[in-house]
Amino acid sequence: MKIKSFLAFWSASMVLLLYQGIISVQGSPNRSNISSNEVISNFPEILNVGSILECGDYQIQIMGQPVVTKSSNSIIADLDLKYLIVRIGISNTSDQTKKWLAPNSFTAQETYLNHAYGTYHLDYIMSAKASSGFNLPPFFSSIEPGKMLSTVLVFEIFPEAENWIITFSPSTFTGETSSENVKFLLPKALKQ
Amino acid sequence: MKLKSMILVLLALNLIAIPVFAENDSVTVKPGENYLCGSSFEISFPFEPSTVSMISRDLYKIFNLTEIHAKAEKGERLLQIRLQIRNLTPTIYKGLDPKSFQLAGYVRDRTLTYIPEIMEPYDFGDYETYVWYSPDHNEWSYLPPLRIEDILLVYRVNPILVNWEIHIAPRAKLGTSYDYGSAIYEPIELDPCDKVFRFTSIKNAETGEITKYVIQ
Repeated sequence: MKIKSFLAFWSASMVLLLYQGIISVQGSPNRSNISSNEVISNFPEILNVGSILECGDYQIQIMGQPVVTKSSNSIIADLDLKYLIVRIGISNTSDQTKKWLAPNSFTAQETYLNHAYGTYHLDYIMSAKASSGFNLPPFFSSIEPGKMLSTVLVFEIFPEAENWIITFSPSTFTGETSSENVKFLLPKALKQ
Repeated sequence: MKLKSMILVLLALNLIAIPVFAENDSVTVKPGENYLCGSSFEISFPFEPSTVSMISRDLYKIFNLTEIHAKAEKGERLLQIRLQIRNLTPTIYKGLDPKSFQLAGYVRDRTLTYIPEIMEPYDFGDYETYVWYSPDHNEWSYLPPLRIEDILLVYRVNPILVNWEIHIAPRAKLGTSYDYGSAIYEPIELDPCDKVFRFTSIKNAETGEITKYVIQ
């Protein structure tokens, strides 16, 4: 009797182990379980075109769909670098003129699945009125109280990310640095 | 006495069975599907593996010259696997090690393992591109973060083996580095990639014949 019950117990445990083995083989994770558009809880939210974000004495907004485009520079193109281009508007909500916002006020960070990867510094700034080229002086004009400056940010990137986080931490060439900063996800970029 | 020894034998069998079923992180491959390997690599196989007797490249298209890359000897086949791999770590892998991709096949009670003889960017057989990337056809310069690399692996195998599987655990011969491009990369906590991918069929690329296996 004892032998029989032991054998029954042993057979049951073997069947269970076999079953677990099959399940572990079949139940391996794959990409279809992961939503590529998933917004991770500790990631910043998407700043949609036209929505406004407050940051200290400034308001910032996205003025159009971001674009990832091939570089016109052949050396850069060989390295697979591309440009991430985004048109933004920055408003001065204080009662004083803000002078010459510095390029280090902006960084871009690439994201994929649930992780943020490399941080890119701003490479070029382009006036919204400029017809072509990125070779304008790398700083903004003054922003009068209550006025908005429209400009284009250009980052040289490796274009493998799903999304991009922009960090705006205002600092000026005159040494004025804001303790506040904001982060936001860009809307889906148009790939050219 | 008999009872005791029987119990001991059965318990020993149990102990053997537990690691066999617990250790194996494996998946049966469906061509075209993407799989996470740990949380540090994303892997897919666009096509089922296939066998050929010869790998050749157009040396210089204008001269219509062909160079034979590898040729199967008697009793051998060249098994090719096209693999797409995306490095999800924030580091650059310098010099991808061929041992990252170990192929295994079974015959009777034996398992034979193979290291790729050729490991190249998959580029439709353009020799000039292959030379640029891979002068000795088994080198890999780098695997940067997030980039999808399309790799052709070729193994010289014994064709009578069955139940082929590839064990993928990427490693870098020259180490990894955060120093890559213009961006600044920071460490991310990720599970390493160490996984077995099992194939259910192999195609003979010359005859079109497909051999299907029942995964045991």
